[in-house]
Amino acid sequence: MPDVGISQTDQVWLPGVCRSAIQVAVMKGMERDDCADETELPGLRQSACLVYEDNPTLFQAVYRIGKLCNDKHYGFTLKPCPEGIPEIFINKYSFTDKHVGLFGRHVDWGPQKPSRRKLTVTLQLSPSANYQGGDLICYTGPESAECKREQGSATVFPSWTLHEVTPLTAGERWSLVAFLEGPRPFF
Amino acid sequence: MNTFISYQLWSPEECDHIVEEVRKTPCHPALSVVDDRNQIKKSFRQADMYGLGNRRLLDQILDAAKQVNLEQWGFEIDGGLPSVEVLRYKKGGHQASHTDWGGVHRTRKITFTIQLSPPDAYEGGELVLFDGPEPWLCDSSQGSITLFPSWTLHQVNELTSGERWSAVGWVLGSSSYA
Repeated sequence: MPDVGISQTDQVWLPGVCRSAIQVAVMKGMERDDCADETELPGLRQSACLVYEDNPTLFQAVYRIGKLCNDKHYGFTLKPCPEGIPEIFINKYSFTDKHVGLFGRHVDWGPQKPSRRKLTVTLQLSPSANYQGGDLICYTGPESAECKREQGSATVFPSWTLHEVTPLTAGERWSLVAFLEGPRPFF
Repeated sequence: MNTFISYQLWSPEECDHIVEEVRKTPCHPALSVVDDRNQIKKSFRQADMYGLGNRRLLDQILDAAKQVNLEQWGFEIDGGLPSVEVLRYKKGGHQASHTDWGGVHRTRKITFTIQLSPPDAYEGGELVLFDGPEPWLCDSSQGSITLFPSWTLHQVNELTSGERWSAVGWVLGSSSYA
């Protein structure tokens, strides 16, 4: 893998912060069914999606995680916070009799708008013992990279990176995802 | 999701002529991932490599890349096109999935491949790009060029018979993607 393909942190959020990010989203009923953009294939994603649009403390905390990785590894041009982080998505993947949570292989960057997304920031909000399967996997070379599962750990990668969430086989996985944007697309 | 562009750049006759000329020049095993004993990892990339020294051909490729870049991506590509590799894949030849950006190659912006052999000259050997659930098989017609951002995951499937020639290279920026 290239030395700057993906970057991962150990725990950056304590369990209480992870739980609170979920609880606030659930309590305020921020569930949305239009998280997929128009180019996404039907069925590619099987998850529930809650969206934060305003919570300055949370936005700054997530932005900071991506910004630190950017300064250390990538050097992409980013808009400052809060403009550089338009939304925060809280995703629930679950396994039940009727439902298998997953997100097939995709990239977060696209030319349609054109995309100003530079970095994808993800945080594991659930204890890894709460679910089976549901691995975040990034592809940058012949060996795929299984990302960290520990609650509160972060994974950051350029939004062009091919990645997936494998099907859950038990339990429930919550994750946080945000995209850090630049003033213009990659150049 | 990505924009991958393919179109006819050279005629089959031009491609045949280029291959005939390149055959007369020295050949090297294609450099790629090197292990700790400085041996080329054949499991990663297996092909013979030649250079393409003809400046007129390089300029044609660079002009093509500049036009596509203008229409599609708008990358800063001030680093130009310093060199082009001509690769010969024989039976068993392949290249495992990888991206061309990263490590010491952070100024690579646009990757291109030109198919120099007619598709009926070999079996297997498809150039495959990945940006979604389904792989994207590139145009295999002789003389076609395919261009894509160098961050794109791609591979060359194993050749099962025949011989496949291609010209590959990278249009560079003065610095990395920003």
